Amino acid sequence: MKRWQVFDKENIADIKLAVFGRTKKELLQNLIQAFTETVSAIKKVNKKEVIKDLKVKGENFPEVVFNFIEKLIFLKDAKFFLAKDGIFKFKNSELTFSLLGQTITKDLPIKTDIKALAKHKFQVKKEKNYYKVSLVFDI
Amino acid sequence: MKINNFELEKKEAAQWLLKNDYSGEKIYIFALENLLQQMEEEVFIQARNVALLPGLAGPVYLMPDAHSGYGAPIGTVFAMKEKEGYIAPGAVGYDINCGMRLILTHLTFAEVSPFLEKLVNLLFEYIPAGLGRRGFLKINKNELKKIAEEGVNYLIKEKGIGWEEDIEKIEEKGKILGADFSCVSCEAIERGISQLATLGSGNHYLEVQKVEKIFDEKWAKKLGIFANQITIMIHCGSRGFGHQICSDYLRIFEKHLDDYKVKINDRQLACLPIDSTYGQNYLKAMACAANFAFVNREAITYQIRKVFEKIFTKNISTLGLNLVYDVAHNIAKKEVYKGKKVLIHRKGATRSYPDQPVIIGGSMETGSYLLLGTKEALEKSYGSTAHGSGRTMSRAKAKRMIQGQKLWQKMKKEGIYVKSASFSGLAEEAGFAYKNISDVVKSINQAGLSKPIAYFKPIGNIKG
Repeated sequence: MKRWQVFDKENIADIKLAVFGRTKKELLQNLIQAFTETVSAIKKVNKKEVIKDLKVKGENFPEVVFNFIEKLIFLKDAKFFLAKDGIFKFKNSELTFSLLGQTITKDLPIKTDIKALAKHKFQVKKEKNYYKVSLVFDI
Repeated sequence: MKINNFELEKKEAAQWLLKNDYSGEKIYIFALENLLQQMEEEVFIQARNVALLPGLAGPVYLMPDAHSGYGAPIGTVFAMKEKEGYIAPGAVGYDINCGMRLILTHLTFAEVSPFLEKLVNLLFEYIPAGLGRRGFLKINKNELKKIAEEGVNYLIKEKGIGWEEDIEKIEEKGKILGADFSCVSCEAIERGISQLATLGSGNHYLEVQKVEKIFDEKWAKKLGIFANQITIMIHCGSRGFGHQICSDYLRIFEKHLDDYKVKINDRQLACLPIDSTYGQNYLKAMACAANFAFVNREAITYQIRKVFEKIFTKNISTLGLNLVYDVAHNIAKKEVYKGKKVLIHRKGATRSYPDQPVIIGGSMETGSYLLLGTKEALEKSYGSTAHGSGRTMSRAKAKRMIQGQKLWQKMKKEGIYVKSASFSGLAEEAGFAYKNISDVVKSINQAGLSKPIAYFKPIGNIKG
């Protein structure tokens, strides 16, 4: 199963992606990978730092996913942190998680910056045996 | 004429009316036919969604550099009624007060050329671009509050960074009124503190340019522009501070759409009444971000002046580095048209008031223009004009067409020395990924929205 896919004929000034996962946790894991691969190179990012006890809430799962991605953007900008992996725990509509990754350093290749997650075209769908998130990153 | 299943009727030179197949306001597009042909279907769909917003005071205008964005296309202008109107954060854009600044030196191309690489390298060192680099200005939350509420005035008068004479040459004198820091989230504050005095990435840049062509001698002379002169252009905005404010209020607005019975076709166009608490709070926070962006560009200018002094070992008064103008192209502002106060939304569009300098930034390979605002723009487009070239190609496709390193070498051969934080980011911004800037300028000139003064050719560029 594909972990994510880039669509380059739409939202030409930015980046449109579809991210997949067989479970909610796998979906979040793949979102981390797609995010970090867009910004840098996931293979080069080390799991040498951990940020624990992060929380996002939402009225439903799509909102939790949206807020989760916004948290990744916030941590990149405010803490200069890029994640490679995550440990997730769902409780009702609250997601508690830890992120493993590293502070952005000069030796980490930078491809582009993700500045925001657009509401435009954002969608979380539950298919028969997998989840799919469609999203556009503001670059 | 039919483009992308949309019927267009030619009204005047470089002005088209999108035929109305819906119940919203009229949509006018200012563009030469070849630029119109390059607009994606999504541009027309998004424009139609904007034209259906509640509270509009008149038509929706699209500029020749329009391309699809989220909610509203980049290159959109519209006005909301002062009392019954709505405010749409997504139609201002994430990068609140993303804008352009033009600085003139007293130096000629012949004087700068031998030092170009050294100059660009030092600019790259002094002005962080790209990810993970902090700016020279270390500030705390209280200082950020002052920057956000008082704008450039605070930076210059309290921090001693920048020149007092710059203030008069910044849109709204570098301070949008009504800013209230209490309407800004903790997340935005953290992102703002870490990113002040940085250039950013994407299509943001700092460019060393040469005056290549003068179209209006009288105005060029009046502004201090001469042939072969070296100029500096800055394109950047409110960084993560503005992005976070936009994201925060989009979330809040979306949750309250039902309270105000607002129906929209795109979540990115979530809007609420201007006089609602949420609407007012957004405007107060947006003003904070706009002021942050003015300060960001002033702080970058401070660094540029230091670099020039260091490289050319001359007194700053000999080197010049005076500001021509600083103008926003992502903003909402209260303005008066035909005697009526309205809330103008400009997303990827520049204010174009009579005798006001208008800066249109092109791609890093093709050059940029300085123009002059017109009276006609006040009547035709809520005093607005284009803002840049506008993309025609996706970032991924541009990267498939050229490798960053090859582009860097090609540009060097063409006399443009680039220092970039990312070769991948450089390839995304290749000149062929953008519309022809000269066609954009011809369009707004023919439409009467602004008149060209000078054309600048890039010789050095720093990018994120």
